[in-house]
Order: sequence, then structure tokens, then C-alpha cells
Amino acid sequence: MNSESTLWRNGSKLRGMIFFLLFYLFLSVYVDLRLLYYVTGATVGISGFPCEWSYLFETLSLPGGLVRYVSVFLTQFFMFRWIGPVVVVLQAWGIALCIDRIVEKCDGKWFGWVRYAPGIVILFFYTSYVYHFETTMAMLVVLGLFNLYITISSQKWQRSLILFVVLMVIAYYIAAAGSLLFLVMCVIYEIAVKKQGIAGVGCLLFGVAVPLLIGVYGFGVSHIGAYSELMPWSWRITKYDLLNRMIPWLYGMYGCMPACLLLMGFLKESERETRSSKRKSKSKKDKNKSRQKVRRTGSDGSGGVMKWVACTAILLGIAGGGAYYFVNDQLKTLYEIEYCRGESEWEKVLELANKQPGQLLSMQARNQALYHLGRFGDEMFNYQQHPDGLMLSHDAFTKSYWHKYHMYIDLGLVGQADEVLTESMVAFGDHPFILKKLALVNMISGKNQTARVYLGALQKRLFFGEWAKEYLVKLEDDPKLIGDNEIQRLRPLIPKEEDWRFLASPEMQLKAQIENVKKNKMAFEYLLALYMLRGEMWNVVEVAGRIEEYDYEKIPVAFEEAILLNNKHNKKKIPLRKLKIRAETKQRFDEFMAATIRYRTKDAARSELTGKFKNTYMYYYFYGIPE
Amino acid sequence: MISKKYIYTMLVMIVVAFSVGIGVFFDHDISEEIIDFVQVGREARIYPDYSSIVVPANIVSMNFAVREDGELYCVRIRSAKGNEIGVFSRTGKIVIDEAKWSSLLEQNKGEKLVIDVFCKDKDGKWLQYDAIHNTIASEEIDGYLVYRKIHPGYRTWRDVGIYQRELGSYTESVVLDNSYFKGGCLNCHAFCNNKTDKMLIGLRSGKYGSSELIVNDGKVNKIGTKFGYTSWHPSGKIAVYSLNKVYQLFHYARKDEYRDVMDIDSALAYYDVESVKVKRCDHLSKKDRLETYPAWSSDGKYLYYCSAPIKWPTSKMEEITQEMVEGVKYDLMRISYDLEGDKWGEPEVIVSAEESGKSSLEPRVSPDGRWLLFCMCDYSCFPVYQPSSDLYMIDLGSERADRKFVYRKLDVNSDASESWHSWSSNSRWIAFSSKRMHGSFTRTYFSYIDVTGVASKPFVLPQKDPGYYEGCLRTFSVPELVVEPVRTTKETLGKVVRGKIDKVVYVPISSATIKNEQWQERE
Repeated sequence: MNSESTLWRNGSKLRGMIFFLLFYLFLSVYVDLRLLYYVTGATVGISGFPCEWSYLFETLSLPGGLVRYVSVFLTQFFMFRWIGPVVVVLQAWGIALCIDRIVEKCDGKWFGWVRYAPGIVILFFYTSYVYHFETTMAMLVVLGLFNLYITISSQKWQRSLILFVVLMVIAYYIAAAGSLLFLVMCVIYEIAVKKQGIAGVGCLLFGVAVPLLIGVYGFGVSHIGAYSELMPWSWRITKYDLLNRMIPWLYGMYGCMPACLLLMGFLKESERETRSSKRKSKSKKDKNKSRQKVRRTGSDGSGGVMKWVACTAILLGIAGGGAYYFVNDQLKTLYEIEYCRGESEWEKVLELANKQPGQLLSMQARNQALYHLGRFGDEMFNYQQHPDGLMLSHDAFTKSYWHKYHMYIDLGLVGQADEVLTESMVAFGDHPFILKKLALVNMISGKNQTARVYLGALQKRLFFGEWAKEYLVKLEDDPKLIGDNEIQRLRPLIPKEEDWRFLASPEMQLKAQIENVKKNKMAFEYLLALYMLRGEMWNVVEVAGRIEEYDYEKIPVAFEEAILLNNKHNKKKIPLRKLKIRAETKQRFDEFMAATIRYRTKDAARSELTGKFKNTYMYYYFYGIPE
Repeated sequence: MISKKYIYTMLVMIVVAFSVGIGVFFDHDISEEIIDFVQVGREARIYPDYSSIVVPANIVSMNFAVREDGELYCVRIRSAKGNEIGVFSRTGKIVIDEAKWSSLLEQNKGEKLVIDVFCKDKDGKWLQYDAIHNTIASEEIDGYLVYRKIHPGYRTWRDVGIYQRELGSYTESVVLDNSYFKGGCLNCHAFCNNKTDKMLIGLRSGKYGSSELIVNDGKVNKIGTKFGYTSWHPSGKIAVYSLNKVYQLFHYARKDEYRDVMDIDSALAYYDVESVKVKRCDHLSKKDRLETYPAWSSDGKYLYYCSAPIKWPTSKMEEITQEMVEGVKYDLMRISYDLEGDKWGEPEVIVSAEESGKSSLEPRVSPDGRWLLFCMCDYSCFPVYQPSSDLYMIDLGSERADRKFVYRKLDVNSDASESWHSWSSNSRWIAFSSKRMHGSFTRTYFSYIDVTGVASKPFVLPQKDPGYYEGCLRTFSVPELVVEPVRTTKETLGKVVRGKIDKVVYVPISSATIKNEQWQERE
């Protein structure tokens, strides 16, 4: 019997190891938690970790503060591809260990599989790029305390009740309303498992009062907060769609252990009844026992291995199948694009954006990447285009703060960059990357006083302090930041100080960047492209006419095509003095026009033109402009 | 085999040793006698700037940081009477003992407060900077400050709260924050006669709707309409409020402040506390004018407010041009009122925009009735987004023969925006928001106003950590000085917010002007 249970236990350990190892690899290789950390706006609640005592005291001054403090600290490791997943896996593993112990203490051997349930749900969270680390941390704490409770609680209900009250207060302080899970589990344990009705009712009465007494009257938190912080029904979770989308699973995760305890209690009860009936027919039982023994002995060998393999396969199947179900490649690609854009990996941005050519967010990033690679004017029509895909000007992107930031900086529109970042900070938290960029934006625009506040906040953040301190020293020694090449590069791009115009539309913003002899090449290309994409040839004439003011050695292909198209159809021509349209462009244009003449209607010509001219502006002009 | 008892004893000893170590580390006396020192010949740079200011005797110790290079710092604070306070610091952070500070200031009202700053350089030589001379005012400031703390967002909000700060200590507590009603937005707060028994708080909530909380002698009610800028009549019987249809704008190319706000339409109405009715006066809700920022005179006989002509069709926002917006300049007006008969007089212009060339906003009359403090900026109605906004004052006791008043700019102004001012109950102190220190982030400043109306150099609200503001990502707006704490608990206020509207009011604003539900949010 001993060797059998040891074998089973070792098998179980091995399964756990395999599960958590694969869990780790999946998070590291596929999910990449850095995306969660870097792509601000994708996640709510990830903020920097201030390394200062006041932050510790401030957080600890509220129920749930300890869980929050530890969670914020550990989340900082999401920045590192191979370390972040260790944190998540350790948390899931901790929960599994707690469940193991609980199941063992409650003699619920059939419930050993539950140990993997929270881990699997956590896996689903991260596969969907949803951040519930604090809530799951609260669950870990509560399960740990429940373990302690069932280990040292006594058969005397009075002692159990005292112990419960002490642990409930601790649980509430550490995990805020997450402690309600502790309460529910204790009540079920007392009533269903230990059959101590009085203790159960006592636990319920005292437990419900703890958030009120400790939270509301002790710490002065609101009733809502006292009974909801760190629980799935907290408004801090339900308010945000980003967190809301996995809410049922969070409820499931919180509910699984109480449900199991309840079942364990029922099974124990039925076992007791079976035992008493068995006593009556002892002789029969002995025979059965010997038969069972024979069966077990038979299953010790290859049968045991088969069972282990089958169980492991089922476990991995559920986890893998669920993860497959929750995998959102489109979302992941968008996050990867943002990550690579932040790292200025433009080739990679291009490659990723090609995975979803019609997505406007990807389109906007791709256009920016093309510009950085010096290929925007030549290759823009090699890809799907849309007027809103240039600057995300559609109303639907009002809150796409993070996506617009890089583009605004490139265009020298620091006012807008400041605005989207500030809104982003308010909406998504004091994320160190936002603070860093806000500091930069303010330094570019010369608002050193404001920049100092962001740098001041950032210098206390884990992993970001050195960068901030360096800039604070720079601001002291060199207030104009003359020695900072990047800031000096960007400053000439920004609008004039005395310009008070409202610049309400992207068009006005781009126009402002090229007027009064300003030579913002990106703004020029974007404005021309914007008019081209809208098919506004009368505006194309105005902008394209200034092409020779910029340092082009040759006119980019798409612009050549636009010039040809305009000059063919419009009275007002685009004059070129120094630059020339290339012969091959002219030839391609003539071919296109000839093909259009051959057919009576636009639609009739489409199939022929699609094959040969799909990547030209002419084709976009006739077939691609959205109505 | 090591016994459990032995292990426990060892553990206890380790904990005790560790605690003692920590205690010794923090309690290590770094003070030393300064006998020889070299005069520097200038004042030390300190942050926040607490030099040449007038301080109230009842303010908490004003901790600061010495921003000079050094290995050790020493600060001595002294006055005519009482013991000198000495502080040594290795980091330059000067944290002053609160009890000693209070005692020193209490004993020396009306006297000078001298701060000697010494700094030990890396060669071990002590340097003495010129003494900082401040003055302790004879008159105290009100004991509490109530303000709204919010991130400097424009369209978005997350954690919004109205807080109160005890000025005699560093204690800050929540009056109401949005965690009490699941993340809604809190707006302006208004008190009657610098007391908190009558209070109004406006709020918006997706779940619980937009409403106004009215606290009247400890009883809290939820009014089914939301007030804009509000002013209580000194009698506490009525409260005049504004209705503002707000339009947000962006000067993307402007360096100082890219955000801007204008009222497309606005009007004033008043709430009668007893009859639970909202009333209006034709003069205060004219079709062709924007009326806003009501403020009662201390005797309740006049309502001061701001008014500007509407230069656009209110229904067609797309027709509003930049020139129109920048052409909006508000007159400072007043209108007489008879509380007994509920009768309004004729409006009169106090400061004409045409004459001043500026927009006059946010009037506040001192409780003694002598001074009218207000903002002037280049245009529009939202001074906190106008770097040109400065504080001006009128002596209401010096009305000219032509019934005009002379206004003057206060010495408290900076290059940045000054706004959201309030008076202390004794009319000797003002609190206001300024962006001078940290650009986009407003901070609360105080200034002493002497009997002749001269303002002293302002100083920022003291914090325990002198570096607090350097990383503070919240703005402090609408600082209101009150003599007592808000006693209605946040839980009570929150419960009322979450409850049903218990005072349904009819808003008799004509269709010609702004409708009540069009009120919008702004800082």
C-alpha cells in the first residue's frame, strides 16, 4: 500500500512539474508578458513600484494593501521576458500547493485534480492578455490562511471560532474583501466537512461583520470597498472592459474551492453512511476487499502508468485546449506591433502589420514604419490603405492614446503627444513608461517644470530611477538640454511657441507643420498621403506642388502617380522644375489609363487592373477610396 | 538534536537585536557644535521656497530641503521669544519638530521668524548662508483647507476625491471620493461663510446619475440636478449656481498650456433651500450673454458674477471660430438682491472687459466685505488653463463717483496661471491655485493680505516630506478655507450618493438658454 501511494504521489508530482514547466514555457515563448507591461492601454492596473517608505506605509494603511504592495512589486518583473512568467507560475504553483493540502486535510482524494484549476484559469487570463494578478494573489493568501485554519482548528467549536476570528481579521487586512473567500470556505468546512454547525454559523456571523468593523469603522473605507476590493465584483474590475472580459472565469476560480469543499463534505457524509451499512454485512465486505486488492495489485504496473499518462494527457488537453480557445492572435499582433514600435524595430513592425493588413491600428503603425524605413512614398500602396489608417482620425480611436503617441512625436506634434499620454496616465495608471514619455515630451517642448514632476515620480520607481535621475541632473546642469541629441533632433519639428490655433483636425495639424517655410518631411508626406487617400486631388495639387522644397533625390512612386493622375485630369497642374517623373512610372500610368479606356465601366476593368496595378495609386484612386 | 525552545530563543534574540540595530541606526545623533563657519553672502536655496514670507501661527511645521551641496546640514529656527529649534540633516531634508514649531510660532505672533542655514562642505568646513527672514502673522489662518485632488486629465478621470487638510498638521482626510459611488466624477464644492455645516458637492456618476449633494446642518440630501459654480448666500437660505454648456479645445501648438475650455452657453439660477425650488432671474440668464461664477457679497446684498456676450449661434458649434473664442472677454458684474422680498435689482458693470481688455473671472468677496479678489486673463472663462491668468483685487470701500472701482494686480502673481482663490474667515489670508511650481500641476498657495490689501509673497501648502510635490502627479484645485472640518462622514455622503434623489427640483430655465443636463465636466 505504501509503495503504491508513494508511486501515485511521485506521479502526481511529476505531472505537476510537467504542467507548470509547460505553463512557464507557454507564457515565456508564446504569451510574452512583456507585452502586457509595455503596451499601456492594453492593461488596467499595472503601475510602477515606488521604492519609498511612504508608499509602503500608504499601501499598508488600507485593507488589501499588503496584497497590492506585493503584487505591484512582482508585476515589475513582467518587464523581463523570462522572469515575469516565473512570478506567475510561482503564484499558480502556490495556489496548487494550498489546494493540495486542503484536499489532503479534508480526505478529499478525488479532488486532487482541483489543484490545477486555478492555474489553468490563470493561464487563460494571460493568454487573453488580461491582468488579474492582484485578485489571484488575494486568493493565494486566503488559501494559505485557510490551510492554517484547518491545520490548527480544534474539535471544540469555541476554539475554532476564536481562531477563525483572528485569521479572518488577518485575511481581511492582507487581502481586503478577498477574505470573504476565506469566510465562505471556513463556513462550508465547519458545516459540511466537520459537521460543526454552531462553529459554521458563528464563522458566518463574525466573518460578515469583519469588513464592516475593520474596513469601514477601522480603516474608514467605503462599504462598497469593504465588501468588494480584490474580489471579482469590485467596481475597479467591472468598470473596465479590458478586465471584464474574463470575469466569469475569475468567479469560477474563486468559486471552485468552496464548491469542492461542499462536495467533499457531501461525499464524506455518504461515505459514513456507506460504512455503517457495510458494517452490517461484514462478511460480504471482506470478500469485496480481497477482490479490490487483487484489482489494485493488477493496476500497480502498466495500468498505473497508463492511468498517469491518461490523466496527464487530459490535464494538458484541457489547459492546452482552453489556451487555444483563448488565444487571440490579432490582439497579440497588435501588442507586438506596439512593443516593437516602442523599441523602434520598424522592419519587425512591418512584418507584424502584414499579418492583419486591413486593421486600422496596424495600418497606422505600418505607415509609420514605412516612413522610418524611407519607403513610405514608394511602397504605401503595396499595402491596404484607408484615410483613417494614417492618423487614426476616426472617432472610434479617440481613446487609442498609446497608439498615437509615437506618431505624434515623429510629426513634432508634442501638444497632442502630451495630451494622449496624459489621458493615458489618468485612464490606465501611473505606468512608468507613460511617465517616462511624458517627461520626454515636456522636455522636448521646454516645459521643464512639468517634466520635473514626472521625473520626480519616476526616480522613485523600480528599474526607472537611474534614467530619471540622469535627466534631473541634466535639467539642472543644462536646462535647454543642448547636450541631448534626441531632444535637439525633435525640437525643430515642434510648432512655433506663439501658435495658439486650435488645430482641431489631423489635416490642420499636418498643415501647421509644413507652413511658414517649415520643413517637416514626415508631415509633408502624411499630408500629401492624406489627401491622396481621400482622393482630394484639388488638395494634392497644393501640397505636391511643394515637393521640390524637400530633399528628395527622386519623387516617391506613389507621389509620382498622384502627380500624373492630377496632371492628366485636372486643369491645375503640378509643376516640377528639378525633379522628374521616372519613365517606368509614366509607362505604368499610361498602361493603366489605356486599360481603363478599353473597358466601358470601372467595374468591367477591375479584374484586369487588379492583377497588374493593384499596388498603384491609380488603382486605389479608382477602386480603393472608401465611400 | 536542537530543541525547539532553543530555536525560539534564538529567533527572539535575532528579532530583538535587529530592532535595536534599526533603532540605533535611525536614532544616531548627527548633531555637532558649529563654532567656526564661513559666511557665504547669500541665502541658501531651499525647496519649497519658504523665504521672505508671512506665515500664520497655526500652520504646521514648514519642512523644506536645502538645495546646496554639502555633507551635513544644520538649520536653526528662532524668533524673539522661546527656544530656538535646531535641525541637523545629512540629506538636506529639514524635518522640523511639530510641537516645537507650534510653540515657537504661538509665542511670537507678529514677530520675525529667522531661519539660519548652515552647510558642511566636503572638506569639513561649515558655511553659513544669509538668514532667511519670515514674519509670523498676528492673525491665524482658518484651520482647514478643502480641495479636489485629481490627475491633470482633460477628458478622462479615474481617482477623484475631495479632501480636507488640517492646516495645523499634515493630516489629510477624504471628504468624499469616487470609490464611494463606483468611480464617478466629483466636481466643485462650496461652503457657506467658511463653515462646513452647509456644503454643496456636485457629482456625476454613470451608475447613480448626476446630482448635487446638499449638506444642511448635518443633514444630507441628494438634489436631482447638478450645480456648476456655486455660491451660498450668507444667510444660507439660497445658493446661486451656474449652468455651463462646455466646449473643450486644444491649442496643440501652444507651449504653455494646450488645453482650453469655453462656455458655449451659460446662465445662473438659484436654489431655495427651504422651498426646494430652483428659481431664475432674467438678468442672470440672458439669451445673448454668458453668465457664470456667482459670488455673494458678505452682507448678501449683492451678487457678483461674470458675464460676456455670446458671439456665436449656440446650436452650431462647428461655426465657432478661433477669433470668436479669443474674443470672449467677461465683464465683472454685480446685481443687488433683497432676500426678504426675493427681488433682484439692475446689473451693473464693476470691471468692463472693453476697458480692461481682459476677461474677469472668479470673483470672491472677503468676509469683511472690503475686498473683491478675482482673476483676469486674456480671454475666455477658464483661468486655470490660461497662463495669462493673474489675481487682481478691488477695494469695495473705494467706489468712485462714477460708481466704478479701481482694480489692481496683486503681488502674488507669476508667469503661470493663478486661479481658484478663496478667503479665510478673518479676511487676512487667501488660498489659491497656481501652476508656477510645476507647470501642468496646480498647487495650493497661501498669501497674507494686510489691512491695506497688500499681499505677501505666497507659499505652498506645507507637506511632511519636503520633496512631496516633486513627484506628485495630482493637481490641487478649488482650495476652500474653512474654520472647521467637514463633519459629515464620507460614508454618509457616499450612502446618499448611492441612494435615491430625495429632492426633485424643477429647473425653470427657458429653452432660449442652456438646459440643465448640458452641464459638463472640467477641472
